[in-house]
Amino acid sequence: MDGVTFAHIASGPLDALIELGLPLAVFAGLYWWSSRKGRPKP
Amino acid sequence: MVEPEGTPEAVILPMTRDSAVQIGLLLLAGALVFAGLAFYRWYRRRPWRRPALSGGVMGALSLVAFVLAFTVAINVPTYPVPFTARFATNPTPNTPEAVAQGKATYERLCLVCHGARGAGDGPAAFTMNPRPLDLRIHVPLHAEGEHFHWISEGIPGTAMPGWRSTLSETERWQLVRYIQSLAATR
Repeated sequence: MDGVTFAHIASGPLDALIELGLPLAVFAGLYWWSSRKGRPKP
Repeated sequence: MVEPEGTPEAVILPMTRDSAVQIGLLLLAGALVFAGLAFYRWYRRRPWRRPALSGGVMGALSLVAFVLAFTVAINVPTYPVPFTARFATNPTPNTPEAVAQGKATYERLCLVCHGARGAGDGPAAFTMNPRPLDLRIHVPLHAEGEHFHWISEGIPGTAMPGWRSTLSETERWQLVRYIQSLAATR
């Protein structure tokens, strides 16, 4: 195994923030979009 | 610990199965929240299509995460630690004295399995299944708080015991300093 690094995308706090933050960012974006009021009908 | 499956050449996703599964589960939770919101709005005769579509998008993304997790993501099991453990920082100073103290503890308790260089080739390692991992490779992949947790509590399903009752907190953090120095001198 020498010379091979089985990399996580990140490690430690950054790893945790990505695992939690990525889905949260998607959720927040979609929530903002779904709560937006549509254009008023003419 | 369990060795990774497959060959490194097969790795496409720079993320472990555990990470992808966790992301997939959170996306699935989000999809369920949107489904509930869409149902509530539909029930109240309010616009419900956008939350429903959002739920569908999150569900689809969740499916993608699970498919990636069980196809291209490598399986490097990360034994669970409390969420806050990843953010714990080593209170012992990074000094030669702390590393030397850690080394003394390592040689007394850890060397028999992990080996003098941390390569997982100690005298007792060959009797173990799973074998101890190469610390020089795996230590840099994890936060110091995770190492501290595994040293303190042990690793279920392996021969790694918890040292909480044997070693003081300072001694365990000094051990973390030492295994980090082992990895750095690889």
